[in-house]
Amino acid sequence: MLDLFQYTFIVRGLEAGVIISLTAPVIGVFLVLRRYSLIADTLSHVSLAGVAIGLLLQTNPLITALFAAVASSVAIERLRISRKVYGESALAIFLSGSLALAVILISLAHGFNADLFSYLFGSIITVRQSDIYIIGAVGVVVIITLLAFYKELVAVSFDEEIASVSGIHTHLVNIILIIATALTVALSIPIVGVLLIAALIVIPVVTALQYKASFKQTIIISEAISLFSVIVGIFTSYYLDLPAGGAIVLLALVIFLLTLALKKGIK
Amino acid sequence: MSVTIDHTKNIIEITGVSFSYAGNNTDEVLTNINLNIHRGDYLGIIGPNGGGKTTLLKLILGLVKPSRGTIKIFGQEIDSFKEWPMIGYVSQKATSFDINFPATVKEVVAMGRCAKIGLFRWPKKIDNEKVEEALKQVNLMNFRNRLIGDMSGGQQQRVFIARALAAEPEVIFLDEPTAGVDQEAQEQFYKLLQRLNKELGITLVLVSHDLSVVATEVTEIACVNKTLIYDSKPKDFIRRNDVSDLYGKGVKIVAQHAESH
Repeated sequence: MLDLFQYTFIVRGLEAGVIISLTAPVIGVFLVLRRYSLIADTLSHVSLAGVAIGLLLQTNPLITALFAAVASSVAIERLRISRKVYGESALAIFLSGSLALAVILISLAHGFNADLFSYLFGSIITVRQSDIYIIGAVGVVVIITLLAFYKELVAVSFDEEIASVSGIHTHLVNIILIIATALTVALSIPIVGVLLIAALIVIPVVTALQYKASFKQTIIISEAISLFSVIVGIFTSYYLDLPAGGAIVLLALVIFLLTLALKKGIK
Repeated sequence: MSVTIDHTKNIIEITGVSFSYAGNNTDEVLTNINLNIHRGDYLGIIGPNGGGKTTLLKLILGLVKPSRGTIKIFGQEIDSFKEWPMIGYVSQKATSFDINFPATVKEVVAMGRCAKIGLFRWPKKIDNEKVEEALKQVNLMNFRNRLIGDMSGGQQQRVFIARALAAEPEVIFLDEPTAGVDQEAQEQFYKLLQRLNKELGITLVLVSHDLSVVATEVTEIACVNKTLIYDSKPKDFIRRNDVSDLYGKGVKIVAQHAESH
């Protein structure tokens, strides 16, 4: 039987998990199709630097992570548009640069400890009630924004040049996608952890793409996979005392492998 | 069915336009281009590869900016022109499209309606009707739920025409639209273009290196090789010796219906 104390953890974890699991695949479908999924990985490392700043300043690390991720996402996009460096190189600079910053700041703060481990790999035990409010509020804003720009995002992902000629403001659409990515990545840290967020954004989408469905169906399938992995992953992590992020991502991977096997079986 | 069109009305006016990628006057890709495109025209822009045809197209579409000269679209300076949904564009398909993209034919066509609908608006019933109308125009209504990647090259190109049509454009620009499309599909494709031009009154601008196609299909012709070499009716063009000016001596036009030689 669950006592009230345990129950609170699970419910908090699930609340945050459901919001993230619904947001991540919508971001993911656009990133994967535009061959830009590495941005999720980069922004997760930037978020770690943000977490380190939060730990150092002794404020809520989720808030500093959100700011760090959004500021860097805008900087990365500007660097990419300026064509001073290749898009991929811009990502590499930010990825390793922010990791270097994070490691210095963390050692200045109070060294490596269990707290850091939960930011790296996710843990529902450390999710605070205030985190839930932040995840809920920002998550809803991200989902509404993505819905508002849905048709533009689809058109730009399919063919940016044609979309631009047809009168779509492609720079605006791109910056919205990248900021939404930054917010989602930073929000996912408490549950999935810095090192595994990209997997949650990418794997359900790549799995859904195997079903060769329409755009809408692809999003629905990846939402279902993501939701299932996150909910079952959180329960598993709680009862078996495993890191939540690891459990969630491994579940998503199992679904991916089953899908590949299923598709091969059909052919 | 046919529509009456005032062919004297300029919809695109290009005056003294030059372009170089470096932004200087030396390595100019295009030099001093003057060209008017009239309402209802079916204009073929031809010229050798590297002669600047595609660059001219990109200038008109606002994808690159001229280093000198002005471009007016529907009477407005290109920089202040806002009615881009009036302009359709079908690019060289091979370079700009991922065949594994998870979208149905109808979803792709609906993308063309996106800017017309505008920001923060969801498609309404009328938008769905326009998308289906466009699908019917290119005879792909029965294929609307197929994935774009599962269609043949010729069908894909018709899907992209429908995508342009979904915005109800006044003019459609086509850049080498039949590259990599088989002969039969090409003929069908050019019949479709004729119908759009004659029945719907849509102005067409076809960029191609394929002289035989251009000579038989279009009503106006413009030859571009760094500058505008010729700009008139295709029949006169073939009669004159401009072809050798453009492509060098020894080039013969092979066209089924042209009264050439």
